[in-house]
Amino acid sequence: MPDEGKDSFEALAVPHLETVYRVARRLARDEHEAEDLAQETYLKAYKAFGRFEVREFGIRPWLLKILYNTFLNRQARDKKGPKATDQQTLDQVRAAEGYFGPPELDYENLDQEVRRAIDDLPAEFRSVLLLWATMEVSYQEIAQILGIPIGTVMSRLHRARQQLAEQLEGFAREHRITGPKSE
Amino acid sequence: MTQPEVLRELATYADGEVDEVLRAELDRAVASDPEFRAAVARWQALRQCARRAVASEPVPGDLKGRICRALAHQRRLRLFRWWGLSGLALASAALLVVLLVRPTPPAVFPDNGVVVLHPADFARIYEKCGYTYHHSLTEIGERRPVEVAQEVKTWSDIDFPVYLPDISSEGFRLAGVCRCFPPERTGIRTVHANYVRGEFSPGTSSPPENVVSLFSMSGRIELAQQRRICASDQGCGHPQRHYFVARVGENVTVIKWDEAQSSLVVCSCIPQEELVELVDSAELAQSQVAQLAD
Repeated sequence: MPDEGKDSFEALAVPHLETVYRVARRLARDEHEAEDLAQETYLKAYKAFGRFEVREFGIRPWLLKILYNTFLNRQARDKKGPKATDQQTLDQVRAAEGYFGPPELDYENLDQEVRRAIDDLPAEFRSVLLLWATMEVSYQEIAQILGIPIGTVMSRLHRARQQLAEQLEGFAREHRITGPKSE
Repeated sequence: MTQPEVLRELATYADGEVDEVLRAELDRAVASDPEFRAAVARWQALRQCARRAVASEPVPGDLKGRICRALAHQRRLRLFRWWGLSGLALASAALLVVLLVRPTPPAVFPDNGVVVLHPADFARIYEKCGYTYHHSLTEIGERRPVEVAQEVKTWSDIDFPVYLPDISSEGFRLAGVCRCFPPERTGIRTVHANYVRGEFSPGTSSPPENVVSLFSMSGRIELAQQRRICASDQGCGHPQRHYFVARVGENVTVIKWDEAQSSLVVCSCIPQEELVELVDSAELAQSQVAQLAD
């Protein structure tokens, strides 16, 4: 019989719906696909809730892990798997000193540009970057969520950040914003 | 550490993911070089930009409601399964019987007001209630059909003649009586009697020829695609009846005839000629009709 109390699935999981949807939205790059993805994630999580043990980081990493696996399964099912990424030629981004994003920045445009840049990342980079950006979790936790080695998390994150910085470079120049300096 | 080595580690440093030894070294480097501090700030800003961009994505207003409804639906399904496993299997089986015997094609009302029913509906009840389950709403035991008929007469909505002939001379015994054959779309009510012969057990591989279903209807019906049996076919021995026959599949025969203001239907895998003879021999009716109509 379902528990309707504070430890019920709904009480624990529904507060994280927005995060799950937003990650799904960027993973799927499609609004309707993201809604379906979020719903499928919650239904799967509900069915598996009996096996879930609330750990240090709560239910959110677990939900995101289900989300990511569901996303991968859908990709495999749709035969739209992530394309292999060519070895990126990471140009050095040279910019003047200063913080990225001055106070007078048009945040709405910046958000759109960042989302566009995230969408342009290959799926395996995007997933790492989304978890890194949206959650205060460690690389180790990201590795657990995605089921990949921590070294892979670090290398993917490194390249994802570099690509994101490159993508944003043009926007930064256009708006006279300094771009992030490369490593 | 050289400057390129420091720069390479600063993104990880900004995330707080370096070990203590390296952190101490990078702390000193960042403290002493404004370029390193700027690099750390840029990586932190990039993360904040990404977080802000993702977090500013609008969430569809109805998404929460949709997911909560889907979860509630799942919970109902789970409850249903839970109850299904907790001892109501018998009721579920009865429900299954009812569902299985629901008539699939709609009844047709021709101009003369007579209800046309599909022979497949009778065959389905014959198969499920008669052959498979011996479905019965009353304990038959050693009672004679006429005694069972007296009880059936007391059931609700039984204001029409119910025929429960004694055909033991043909080797058949009454095995069950039920109301299966939902008539809600036709207004027709029904009593279904199933007879068996030989060592017959429900749910076994006993030959279906050992089962006969007899339906007493509350009104006149016709069978879809019925064909009147003439003497030239195989002879209709009963002087007062006109039999109409329809086939279902390879081997199920459905025969219908009228008695007074109502119809009777018999259904079986018995060959048609034998089935007609069986019906002919069953002087079911008149004495019992009179008896029940009293």
